[in-house]
Amino acid sequence: MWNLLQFELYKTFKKPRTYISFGAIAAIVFLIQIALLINGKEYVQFILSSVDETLLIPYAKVTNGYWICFVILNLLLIHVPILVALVAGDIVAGEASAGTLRLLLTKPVSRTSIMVAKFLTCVIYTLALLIWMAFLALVVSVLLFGRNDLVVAKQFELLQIQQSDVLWRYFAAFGFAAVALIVVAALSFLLSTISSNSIGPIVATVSIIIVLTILSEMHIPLYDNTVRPYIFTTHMLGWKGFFYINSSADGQTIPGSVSDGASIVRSFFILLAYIVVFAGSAIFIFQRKDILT
Amino acid sequence: MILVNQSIIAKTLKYKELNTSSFVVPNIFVTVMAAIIEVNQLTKRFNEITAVDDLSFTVQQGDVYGFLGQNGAGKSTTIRMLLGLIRPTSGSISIFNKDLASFRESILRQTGAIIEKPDLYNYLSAYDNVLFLAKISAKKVSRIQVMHFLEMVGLAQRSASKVHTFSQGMKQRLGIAVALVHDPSLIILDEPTNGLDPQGIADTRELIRNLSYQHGKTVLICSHLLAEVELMANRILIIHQGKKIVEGAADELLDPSKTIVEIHTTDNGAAAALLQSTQWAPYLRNPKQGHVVVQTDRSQIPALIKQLVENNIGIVSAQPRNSLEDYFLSVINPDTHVEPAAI
Amino acid sequence: MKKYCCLSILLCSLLGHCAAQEGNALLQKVRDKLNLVDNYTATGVMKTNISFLRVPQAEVTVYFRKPDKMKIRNDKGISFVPKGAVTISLNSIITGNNFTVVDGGTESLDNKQVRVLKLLPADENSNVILSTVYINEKAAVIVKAKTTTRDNGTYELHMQYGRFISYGLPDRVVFIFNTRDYKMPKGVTFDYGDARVQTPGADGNKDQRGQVEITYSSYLVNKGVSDDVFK
Repeated sequence: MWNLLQFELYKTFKKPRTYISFGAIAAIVFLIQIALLINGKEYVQFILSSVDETLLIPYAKVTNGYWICFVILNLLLIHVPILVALVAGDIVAGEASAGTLRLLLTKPVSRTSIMVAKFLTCVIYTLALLIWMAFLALVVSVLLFGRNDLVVAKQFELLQIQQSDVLWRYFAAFGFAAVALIVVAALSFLLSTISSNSIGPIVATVSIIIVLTILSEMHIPLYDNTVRPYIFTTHMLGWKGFFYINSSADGQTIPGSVSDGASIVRSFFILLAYIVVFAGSAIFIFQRKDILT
Repeated sequence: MILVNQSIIAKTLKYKELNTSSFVVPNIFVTVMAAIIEVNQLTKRFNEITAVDDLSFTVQQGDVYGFLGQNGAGKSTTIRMLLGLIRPTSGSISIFNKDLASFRESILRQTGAIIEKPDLYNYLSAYDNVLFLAKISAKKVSRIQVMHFLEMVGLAQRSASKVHTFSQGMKQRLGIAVALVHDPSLIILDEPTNGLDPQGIADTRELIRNLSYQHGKTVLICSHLLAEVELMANRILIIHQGKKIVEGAADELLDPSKTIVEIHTTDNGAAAALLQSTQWAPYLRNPKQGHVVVQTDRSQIPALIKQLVENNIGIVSAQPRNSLEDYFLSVINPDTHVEPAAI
Repeated sequence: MKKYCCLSILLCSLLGHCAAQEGNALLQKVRDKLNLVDNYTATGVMKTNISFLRVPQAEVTVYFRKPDKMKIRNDKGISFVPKGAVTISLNSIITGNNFTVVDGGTESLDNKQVRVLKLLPADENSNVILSTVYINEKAAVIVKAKTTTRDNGTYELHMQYGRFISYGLPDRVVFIFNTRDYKMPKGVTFDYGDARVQTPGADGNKDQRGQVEITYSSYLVNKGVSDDVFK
């Protein structure tokens, strides 16, 4: 199993296209950082436009490294699924179309161990991507913009988290985001198993995520009560829950608290269930599949 | 032009020495078992299409087994079922006296295969391909061993090159190295000479012969090149539309007493008239343009030529027709194939 | 009869004038006390209670320089300070004489009798329409001020005094003001969970009341405050 995993990782990280994702993330993060360096105040003004007349907003302090990281995550975690699908969607289908799948399957390794090794490779790739993103978004932002309290803008609320209370939330958020992205990897992996070319799974994964995200966010009553609580895109935003700090009756935030921890836990387990179902289905299908390419 | 200048025999001998001292998996089944592959009533249906229909055959230990059929006859489907790539609809496959469905991994540990063109990892080097595919075959291989396999197929100098820079022939040779790296007892080859130049084809033929004759490997070879199969195979299976047509020893099926000889002379008319007036008359067949055609025992061909020469008929060429091809066509198209009639 | 009426009117206006004189005098007493402080640097804890804002308690430094320069600063983090609070101080309410003082009598506030004075700006174009101050006569300090403005609605200042009453500086100030509700522009980002549940009735167009409370722990009075602080 270790030899298989080693081989899969070697193959994945030998392909130039794998590094496109890392490059894309670096480019996007730097672009956002430069944009906020120049226009951060205007962006905050735009978000807080409804209260700009009432409150004195310390823009320079608000646009600190922790806030920049939060903005980056908001933007990137919508686009990173595409980059995850790029590798996960290719990992089985790409070999099928290249003809190397049959080469692999004529070796004395079980289909299950091949699929487990491939899925673990997808997971490791996803984690590597996330760590890279975390480093650029958090570490580099803090180095460039410094640290201060984090102001989180929700749709109808502004939350302020003291700087000493922020870092652990980012670790938890990245951990949760890892699980969310592994769901995407597992979906892409499943689609890769039933396709014989890699474009199909990649496009299908992205399309599914777009459609489900629309269902999650449109708040149409017909879907809100039926479908929305169960689709994984609803729960992928759970990482934000770590930044929804609880407050007392008089509006003072309670350090170290999370306003709805139960929801986050529930979302976490729903996402885990999706991973098990998608990856399990992929392995099940592959065990029975006729290799015709 | 491939780089194998040294004798393939010498190289494969050296390969044998290297392998028996270094590799881990004991080849205990080779001397014990008589039937290496036993296929019983194998059937495969894809929706409404029956690709393989109630096929049964046996491959004995040490055989070079020729597996023949037209395009779409079911050869590749059968080969893929033998390797566990496709699940049979019904029937059984036993290799090394073990059921394939239950013991696939241990069977594949002793099986090497090339299916159609050997698709390798184009973005990896030749060295990486051999190394990693050996590792996942549970073989510990050193750099020296990998390089030796590459040298065996004439690719040592290109070991660091990415496979996508290779020609088709080089890829084929690399595929052979990958198939043999874990010292399998059974080798399954589906069109192994695809894309090779004549020298490459000849070298592959020699390699297969030596693997079988010198090292006791069992080889199942599927090929369209009937001439090549005829030179290598000791047993033949012909299938058509998924069904077995004939199976047996090559020398029994390809009756040398019925060899078709095509003789190109300086005066075909005179040659035909001469033969018609001799004991060769019953053996004359429908002439082809520019040839006189006689069906006779192979051993009689010199006497036939001597008859013509003594009667001042100039001989341009005398070609015994590919018996396997003729035999193949006769069994595939028994209704349309017309037995050549006497002139 | 006519005589009695005239006498009554004269008496009332005299009384009213006397009352106004008393009001002015009381106000001057308060001013005199406040004028003892040219500048101060105070430290304290600020609590913000606005419906859409969830913020931690903040340790703030408050800078003041006569007559009306005031700055609230949080050096350790971020604080959202109501815009009006920066310029509003007691001094700014009662500085100058450009208003008419009307005696509003007395009231009971937190079980204490206070004198109510209404200050009507003379300038018709002034942003302030009316200021009502509630004064502890004995200590000559304002305990509550309610100001109605054209632009910012009505705001209130509630003061509690203790250790620094001799300077007219409060231990605790509560500033109550109007604010619009907060609503993020659509499509900027998606919330996790149901945003509407968290702040029921939230509406970006409605006015809300907000409250900022500062509890002072120390004052450095008349030690000088640099101009840079107010930039």
